[in-house]
Amino acid sequence: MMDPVCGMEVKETSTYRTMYKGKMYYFCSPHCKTAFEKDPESYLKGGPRGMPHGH
Amino acid sequence: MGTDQSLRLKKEEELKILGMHCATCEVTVTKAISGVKGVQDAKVNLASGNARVILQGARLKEVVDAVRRAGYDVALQKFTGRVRVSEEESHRLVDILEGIEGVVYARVNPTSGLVIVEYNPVTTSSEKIQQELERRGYRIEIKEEKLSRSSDFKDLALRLLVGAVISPLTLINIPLLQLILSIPVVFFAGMRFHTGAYRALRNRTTNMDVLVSFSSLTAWIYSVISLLFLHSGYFFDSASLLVTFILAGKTLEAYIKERTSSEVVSLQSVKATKANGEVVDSRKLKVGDVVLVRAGEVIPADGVVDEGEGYVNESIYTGEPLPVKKVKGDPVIGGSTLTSGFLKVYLTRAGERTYISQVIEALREAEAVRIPIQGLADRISAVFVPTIIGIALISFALWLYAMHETLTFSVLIAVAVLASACPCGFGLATPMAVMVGIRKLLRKGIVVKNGESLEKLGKVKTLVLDKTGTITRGEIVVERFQEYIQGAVELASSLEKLSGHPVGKAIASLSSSSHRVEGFTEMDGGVYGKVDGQDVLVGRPDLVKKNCEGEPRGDVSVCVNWKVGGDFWLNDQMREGVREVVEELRTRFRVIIATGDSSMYADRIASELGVELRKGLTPEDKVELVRQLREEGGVAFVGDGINDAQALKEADVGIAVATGTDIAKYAGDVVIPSLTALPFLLRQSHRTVRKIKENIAWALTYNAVLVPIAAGMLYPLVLPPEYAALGMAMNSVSVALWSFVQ
Repeated sequence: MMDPVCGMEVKETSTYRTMYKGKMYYFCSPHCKTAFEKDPESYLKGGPRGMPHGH
Repeated sequence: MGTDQSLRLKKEEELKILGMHCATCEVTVTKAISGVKGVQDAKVNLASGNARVILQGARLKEVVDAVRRAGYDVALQKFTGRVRVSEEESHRLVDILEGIEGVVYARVNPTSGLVIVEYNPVTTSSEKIQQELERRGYRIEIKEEKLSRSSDFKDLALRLLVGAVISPLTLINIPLLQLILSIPVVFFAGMRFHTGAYRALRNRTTNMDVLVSFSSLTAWIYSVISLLFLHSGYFFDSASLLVTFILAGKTLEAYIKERTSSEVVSLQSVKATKANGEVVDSRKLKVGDVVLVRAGEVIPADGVVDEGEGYVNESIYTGEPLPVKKVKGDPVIGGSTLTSGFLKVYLTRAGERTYISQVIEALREAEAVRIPIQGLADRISAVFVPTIIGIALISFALWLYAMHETLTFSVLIAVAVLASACPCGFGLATPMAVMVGIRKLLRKGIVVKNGESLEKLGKVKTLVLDKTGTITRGEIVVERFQEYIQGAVELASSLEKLSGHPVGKAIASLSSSSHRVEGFTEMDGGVYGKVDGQDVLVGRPDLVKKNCEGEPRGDVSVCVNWKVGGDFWLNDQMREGVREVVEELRTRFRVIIATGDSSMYADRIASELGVELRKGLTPEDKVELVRQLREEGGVAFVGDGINDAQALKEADVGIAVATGTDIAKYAGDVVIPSLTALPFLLRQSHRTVRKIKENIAWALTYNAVLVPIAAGMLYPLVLPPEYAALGMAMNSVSVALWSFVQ
């Protein structure tokens, strides 16, 4: 499993997760999750962009 | 070795210090304890007479020795028991005993099998020590138990009695008789002042005892010299009355202190009748015991009603003065009173696990507080006594040399100055007010765990309230639902049966049939799983929108195979009285509701109460919110002490709303029984802080007025030393009494 925001390896046991278009995504941190939820398409199309700044 | 390892562990002990009666004593004892190697921290409280010590490596024995070397004593309890132990083992037993928490000294005589253990009654008991020993394979039979030292109040009262009986007789104007009569007063009744002064001077500090001792001895010695050589004037009567008046003040003060601190503690030990008729001390009760409680009696420990019914006053726990009806199966709290009826109670918690023991534990911690303003009082009292001695000497010199008054008059003035000044009020100002304030709160079911929060509450600008459980009952119900795909509600209900979330439970309760669920996953805002092979997602509108076709309209919606198949509207009833409380709070604070719930229901509540709303927050978001708000001023977070623990800690004051009786598990500085107690907490904390300031101001003014009068400022009106002493005694008494008016 890969965090779609920062590209880090994450396990399915991560509590930071969400579902988008019927597929589960897992994150390394709440920051990545929040960033993804704001604009999922850009990460899915453009790939991971590293840790988001600011929260 | 096991014992060595345990020595390095951090341990906290609380000791009852005897002989402290002024602010400087507090400093001396703190210094003495802190000076022991292996003591990490020491906090001494003058009003309660307690010292909290954090040990890291040091043994309790070393701390007690240090306190005794500094001239004070520690209240210890002692028991003598018998044990069968060999000569070689006896040293090891002493080692084990002294390693047990709360044990100070242990002596074992292998020949007679006699064991003498002195322990700290504040943190342990003979039963606990016995149990601990048994765990390690030693059986000990306890012979007798007695308090090593009697109370401070009793000692003072005895001395006062001597002073009060003899002092008036010293007014008979026969110098030799006056001399004889004054001896027991000055040297027996007043002895504690002389030893106190000696102790202070030896430790290179000064205290109130120095003033009393100097003034009474100066008056007495001068009178003796006068009687033998000068024949100029005697004031044996002044010396005697001075001692007596100050003793009267000190006795009254000790009485007030003892009464205040015993009020709650007395609940710890009551007589309990077991089901078999045996009457035991409540501290000896165990989980599983069944006790009988008759009308008017105190329920001795926590448990559930096994038989009978009655009305119980639970105000110590809920703040609610009206008795509550209890029938079989209802929980009861130790320390509450059965006002009518008869109960047979099966105990579920006893000893230190009971609610009231936890309250007492929390209060002890809270009372050891130092509020910043006390720092000012401490600085004053450190220079106070030397300054007063200086003023006394200057006044003496001025009257004798500049004003050409007689030696007798000048000595009298100096004695009056010494006797009039009292540093005690400064030391009592904070602890007395905090102690009274905390107890007033307790009567409303509010438990203060951190005394500093009383002052911090005064600086709070924003109140952040949790919704579920705090504002609402926390019992979410599905008010109504609509189904667009047949069977969607049943599928949602099956899926939610695996969820622990309150919303999930509400939806799960809609249907009793259960389908096979695979791949159950919980996430923020919803749950997903394959139910009977179909993709089912139940969640908040934002989650549903991202995954399903169709428009979600409810607070929560269900998707079946990625199509919106049903909507649920939720409700959670507002708790009683919340509306009025929030209305009152809104006038003085910025009130924000912070909730994890993102349903429309949260909006409805917020708009109904007319406050700001931050919804859909994770516990981390709540912490972040508190952090941001703190930049604008003090923040108090009111919430569930378990789920909101982090936010409670982040806030300036964390207020946990009790949902059970296990205080220890709540985070936060204060535990309140319900949101409706909040206005009282805010008012009371304000009153307590104001009281501290008043006390300090009062102590200052008192001295600022009395000392110049004693120095002869209003000449020809002069203050005789005994009246100056009466004034001094009344200073600390008035601070103690004034603290009650909160």
